[in-house]
Amino acid sequence: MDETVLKEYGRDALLRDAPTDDAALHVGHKAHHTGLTIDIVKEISEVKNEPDWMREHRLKSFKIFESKPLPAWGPDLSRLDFSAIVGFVRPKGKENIQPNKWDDVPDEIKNTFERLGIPEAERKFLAGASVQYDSEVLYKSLRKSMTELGVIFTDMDSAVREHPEIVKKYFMNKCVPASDNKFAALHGAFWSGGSFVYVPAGVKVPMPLQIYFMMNYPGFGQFEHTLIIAEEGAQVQYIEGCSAPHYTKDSMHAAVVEIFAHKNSRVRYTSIQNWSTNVYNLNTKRAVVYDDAVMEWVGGTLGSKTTMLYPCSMLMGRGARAEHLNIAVAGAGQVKDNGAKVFHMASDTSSKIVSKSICKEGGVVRYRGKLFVAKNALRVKSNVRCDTIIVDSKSKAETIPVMDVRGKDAVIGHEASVGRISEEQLFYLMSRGIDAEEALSLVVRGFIEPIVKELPLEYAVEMNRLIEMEMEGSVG
Amino acid sequence: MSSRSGVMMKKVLLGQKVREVSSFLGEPAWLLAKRLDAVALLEKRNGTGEISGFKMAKGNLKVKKNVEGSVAVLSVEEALKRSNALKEQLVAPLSGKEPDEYLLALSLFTSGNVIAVGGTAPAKVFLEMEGKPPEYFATFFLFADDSAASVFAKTSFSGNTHEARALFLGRGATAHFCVLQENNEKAKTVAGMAAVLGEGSSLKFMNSNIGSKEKKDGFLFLQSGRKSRCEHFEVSLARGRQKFEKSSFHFHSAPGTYSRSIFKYATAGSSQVNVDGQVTIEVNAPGSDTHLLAKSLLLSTDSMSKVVPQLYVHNADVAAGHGSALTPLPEEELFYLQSRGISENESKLLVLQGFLQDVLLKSEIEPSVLRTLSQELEKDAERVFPRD
Repeated sequence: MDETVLKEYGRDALLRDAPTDDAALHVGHKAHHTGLTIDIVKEISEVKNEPDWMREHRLKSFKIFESKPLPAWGPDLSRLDFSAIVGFVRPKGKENIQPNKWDDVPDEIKNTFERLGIPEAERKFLAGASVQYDSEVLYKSLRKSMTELGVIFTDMDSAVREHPEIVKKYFMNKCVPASDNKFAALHGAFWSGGSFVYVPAGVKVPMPLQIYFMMNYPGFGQFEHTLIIAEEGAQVQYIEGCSAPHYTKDSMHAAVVEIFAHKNSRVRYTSIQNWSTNVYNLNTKRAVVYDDAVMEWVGGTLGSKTTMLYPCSMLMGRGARAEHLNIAVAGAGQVKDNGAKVFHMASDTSSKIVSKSICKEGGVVRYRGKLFVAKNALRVKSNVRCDTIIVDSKSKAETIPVMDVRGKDAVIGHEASVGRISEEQLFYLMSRGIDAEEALSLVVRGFIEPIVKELPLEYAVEMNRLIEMEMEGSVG
Repeated sequence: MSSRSGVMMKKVLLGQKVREVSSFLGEPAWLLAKRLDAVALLEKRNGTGEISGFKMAKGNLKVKKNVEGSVAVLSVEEALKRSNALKEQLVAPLSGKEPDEYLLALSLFTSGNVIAVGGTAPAKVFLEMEGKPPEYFATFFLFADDSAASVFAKTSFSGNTHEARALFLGRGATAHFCVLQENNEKAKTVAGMAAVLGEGSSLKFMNSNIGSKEKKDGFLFLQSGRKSRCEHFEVSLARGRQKFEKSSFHFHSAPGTYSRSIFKYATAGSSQVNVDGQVTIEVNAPGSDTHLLAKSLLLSTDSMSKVVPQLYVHNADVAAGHGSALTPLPEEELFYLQSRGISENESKLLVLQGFLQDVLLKSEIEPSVLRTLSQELEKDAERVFPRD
């Protein structure tokens, strides 16, 4: 057992956290051995009773992870200590804490909701939500009507067992292979939990599918895998919100999201990330978009210590469309290296990227984007807009968009601006009797409005509150 | 690295070659030290200090000059004998921001010229550099405090070249600077430039490339003087198998500095253009204002255009932005012209010429220089869309 963990949190705490069933107990003990080793990879596969192909995939991914260097670009990851990260942990007392009504939701989570202005009374908004608590999905409710429509919304572990033919077809091969980058390889070896969404042809999911991810174990790396498949003509919205209590040890989040938007389908993936500021958030999110399908990414990157996140759309089919909307806020000690990638691989494809960033108190925001137009992709259209508010001179704002165009008649536009909050706008509002804090809040709300308006009501409220909290004390 | 004949050239240490060059030219110790500083910086950046295929030669660089006003055009040797002006600029330490292209040529140049502009009356400098210069050569432009000059530098080289070009603008100096590189179609040309702008100085810099099979430019604009202003214009048409690589590093290092960059490229045939435009506003440059615009016109399916406009802002008191656009020939404009009875080819030619010329008007560079540049660009465009 890791001595540091023992010293820091005490043997009793670890015993209290020990799972109750045999299999979980086995992994539970191992989980407290920090470090990411091949033995843990084998154990995860064994405990989950996975098929051979998945076990092979994990082992192959682990080899790739070991052979790949850390990225030579982007934020400093030298303090990321893989040997201190816990690869897998099962939540305590699964049966006992599984919430089936609001009262059973853990207090920490409730407090977060309360702080964000989502009172208990609004719990019905959360009715369709699943909560990921540690590595396993514990709480989920899916409207019966959707099951009848043939929609599968379950956790990834169950999907591997119950829908192997679909998972094997799509899992980390066509979209995000383990060889993609070091963190994707790490994920391929240690993935656990996450969501699986399958929407059959022609089905329009009437309500957004929601899931909250929580990390509540110190030094714990979350490697949840999200796989969304929208068959021909299907429509689905998936919403993921993240929040984590603050811990003293650095944690890492290396999730992979794979989305397949088949012909004429429409997928919207919304993610609000508010990890505590000791988390390395190193995700790989990608969508493969086929003929006339529409892929929409809506994101808010608020928490974490270091974020490297570049949702990617591979526009493979004629007429495919992608829209990327993102808000990033970086405060003291935070580095937000995020952006968007769009690969126009077919004719008549189009994309739109809007990125809004705020940096303050020494925070660093960086927009890093890539727009690629293949040689045979004709009549491609794309527009990129990235704006940054830089609150003080301790902070840094950087914009690095790459545009690589090999097609003759592509129409590509890019615009970026960096500056402080307009004095004129603040003065105008204050001259109407609005105090400085409120004026600032209004201007910031206006700045992020193009993205917030795309969020469902409760998320829009949450996002506005979070950003208001972030901007407190930024006037004067 | 191999020679053009395919024979592998022996790699030698760059520092050793630099000492040989300096000794061969009988230079003062401080100039050798400057060259070695450049070598040290290159080694630090690239982790190696080797070079292959370097030949010690003074070459045959011919400089035709036509000057008005208080201007001196001298070889480096003469300039060092007659004045301390060049030494004063060169003994200052390197900023560490100079591009590799500049550092390599600065360390190895075997022939160099100095163009010094003094007085307050507007001066005019017309330089035509031609012949077969040595592989590495340098050109130093010194603009004295409060001087004003219009410079047109045209190169017509027959072989591969690597130039280090330095521009030093004194306090309140104004320079309108135009470079037209019309080199041999088979030549590989590299230019590294470092422009240092003093307090209240103003530089309008226009760069255009017509010849060369491969062209690589690495430019630094260092606005270390308060309230200095810099406008950088690039305009080129890449055709056939031409490959242009352009890097521009713009540093706002003092309060109240202003910069504008406009890059316009058209790509035809199977040409390739890579543009890397970086603007950095440093923490000690409050009140700075910058904007970079990169526009590319895509004329063929086989051509490639890669644009990376980068913005690094480390100060809150700024106005900073960039924009870029990559488009084909606009259908509406072609339709308008054709509906007036102009042939399709002629219409395309007119639109292409309009695209390239537009930036010339914005540059406000001296009319006679613009006329020459405009004519050359027109001729270049006709090679892509020949008149009926």
